[in-house]
Amino acid sequence: MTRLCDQTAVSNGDRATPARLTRIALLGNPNTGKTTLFNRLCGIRARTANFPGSTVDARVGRCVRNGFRFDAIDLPGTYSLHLDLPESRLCRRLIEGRIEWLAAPDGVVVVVDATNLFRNLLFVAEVLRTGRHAVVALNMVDLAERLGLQVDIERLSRSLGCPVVPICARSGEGVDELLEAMAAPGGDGGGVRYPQDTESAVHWANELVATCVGGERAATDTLTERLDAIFTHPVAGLGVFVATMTALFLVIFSLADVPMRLIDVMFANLGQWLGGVVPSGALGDLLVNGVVAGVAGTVVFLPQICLLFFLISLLEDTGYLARAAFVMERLLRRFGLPGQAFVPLLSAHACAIPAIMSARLIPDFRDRVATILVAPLMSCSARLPVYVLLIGLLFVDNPLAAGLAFTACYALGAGAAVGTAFILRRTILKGRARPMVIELPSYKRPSVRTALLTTLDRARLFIRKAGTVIMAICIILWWLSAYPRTDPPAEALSLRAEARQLEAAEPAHAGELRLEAGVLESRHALAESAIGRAGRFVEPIFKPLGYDWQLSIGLLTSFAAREVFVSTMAVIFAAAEDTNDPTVLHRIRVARRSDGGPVFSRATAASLLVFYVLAMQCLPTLPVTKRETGSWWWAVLQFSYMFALAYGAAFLTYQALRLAGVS
Amino acid sequence: MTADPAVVSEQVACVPLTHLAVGERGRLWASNLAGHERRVLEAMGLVGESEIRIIKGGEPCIVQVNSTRLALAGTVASQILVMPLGKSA
Repeated sequence: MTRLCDQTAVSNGDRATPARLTRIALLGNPNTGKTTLFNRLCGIRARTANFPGSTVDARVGRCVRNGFRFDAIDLPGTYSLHLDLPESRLCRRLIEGRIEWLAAPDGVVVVVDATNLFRNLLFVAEVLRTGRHAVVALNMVDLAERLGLQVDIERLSRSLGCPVVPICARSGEGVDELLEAMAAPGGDGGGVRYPQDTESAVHWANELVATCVGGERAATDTLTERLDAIFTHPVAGLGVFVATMTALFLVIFSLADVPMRLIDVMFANLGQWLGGVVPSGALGDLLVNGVVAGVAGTVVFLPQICLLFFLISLLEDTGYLARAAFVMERLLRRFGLPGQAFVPLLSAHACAIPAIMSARLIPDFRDRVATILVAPLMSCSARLPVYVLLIGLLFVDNPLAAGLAFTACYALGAGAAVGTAFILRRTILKGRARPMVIELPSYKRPSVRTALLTTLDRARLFIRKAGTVIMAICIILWWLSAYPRTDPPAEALSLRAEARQLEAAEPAHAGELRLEAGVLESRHALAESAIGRAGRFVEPIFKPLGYDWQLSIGLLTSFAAREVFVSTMAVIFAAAEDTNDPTVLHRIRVARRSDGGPVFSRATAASLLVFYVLAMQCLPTLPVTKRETGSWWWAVLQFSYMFALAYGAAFLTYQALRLAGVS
Repeated sequence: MTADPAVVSEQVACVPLTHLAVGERGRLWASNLAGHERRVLEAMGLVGESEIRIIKGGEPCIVQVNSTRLALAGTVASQILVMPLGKSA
């Protein structure tokens, strides 16, 4: 939880900021440029704050500008303070001072879109009725003028009984004047009586627009008309959507590749360096294989996550995302999901964690929970190493079949996701779906500054939340797979003794023997470790799916992160990290069970593949689900149903293939 | 009490928003929506005697209300009654 700074009088340099003005809140309808203004005020001195009991969050920051210094809070955009929506409740509770750990703001800036004054004034009336010291920031006045509208600022200010400051949040014009107005002592409202109900508010707003806005608005916005004709067209709109999303993911995967490799190499070097510096033993092992490996496993996905949020933020800023939601509404609604679910579902192909975080775009709680619950069924990039290994085992020298199997995995995940959503919306998330009512904002040039600040904020959140959790899990897993310590097997000891004898005469052969001894030691240590024993203990559960105790270890170690399955298999069967090494694949392929049968029969490999497509096997996702849904119940449900689905489907696959004579 | 004949004739002339063709305008007459949806639409500017223009028909549809462009599900649009005003100029 992030708290705003304490309520002390602020030092104000050469300007007299009233000591009482230490905290301001930014309020407004969605798409009024509120966040752009906040970013203009606070820049990087801002972070996301979570509100206990709420699934929406706000950004808090410190503004140090032109001698002013105060805390600002950017509340989520809302059309009214009195709607049954989380963002509306949060705004209402904050300005009424009903958030226990946060004092009410000393002043409120209501950001208003000058091109849409009538509707924004309905909201202004609600805020002014609360009696808070308020200033209206009339944003986008430049755009209003281009559309042929002139707002009489002084008259509007007199009529509202509060200062009105024309600004252009994007260029920063008028922002200093806004701060001056905020710092000035609040008036008594000039005796203005604010409307108390909707009907009188409509009359009041209409009158204000009639008296304060001059000029004739251009009848139609031709750019919006033309773009909407294409972007919301049933066929062309879908084509643009597919092209946009393909381009988005191509950019993410291609641009993220180099920094991901760099991060990988950096952590590998760090591990090597630590291995050399820290004395070998439990501490060194913990640091290298627990901490460094755990952090690397998370941070390696950071470039993908940053690019995803940067590009989505740019797209959202252009106004296109609302059109994409419109196009997808028809398709997804059949499965009980809203049109806005396409962003999380597509993002889940990179990683389920940012996908779940991006589900905040979905206003309805049931829609949002359904999307969050099914998003991890989409094949994320962490599943790729497992797919590569298992499809490589299934289809040797048959690239066409391997390619089709890859496609089938993605299709199975996507099909399971929409199918599960369909069932969820008819069972535990039953209830009338909130029908689509969304605003299609005007198209505009996106702000790179806003996108960069959003990305920075999301990256911080990802590292803090997922990074700490995954690191803790990796340390626990390392501990479980390293303890209790056992003596090396006799075979390894004799190989090491032989290596010592051959050291001088045949150093190359001695090295090979030592390597072989290391493999045996690793296998033995893992088999006798807590997790190895657990593998044997749970073997009967996984036997109907075709897995022996060695594969069961793989399932257990990859319980926290699915890609760990590949390195576990490498340790068990080859003790080599590089799975591209044909000898490793070969050893895995020819590996035998205790009864002499192959570990990876075709039926077993297919069953494992289906299991990994559908199973959760990613513990860091669970705290994120809990955070975004507000309850552990949904996280536990998500894990349980995905495990049950994976188990059932893998069981059917294995038994059907066996019945069909595939071994 | 006898109903106002003018109101009755207006009521007869009213049609659901979904009955208007693309480009056609209508004046908001009544909304059969209740609770949350009604309040959301009011907060979004669909109030009083707003003039609504159909931008895209079908399900969901797109309408223009003053300076706001809204996408509405068919179930919402069919509950909004408007007085047809003909095609926009």
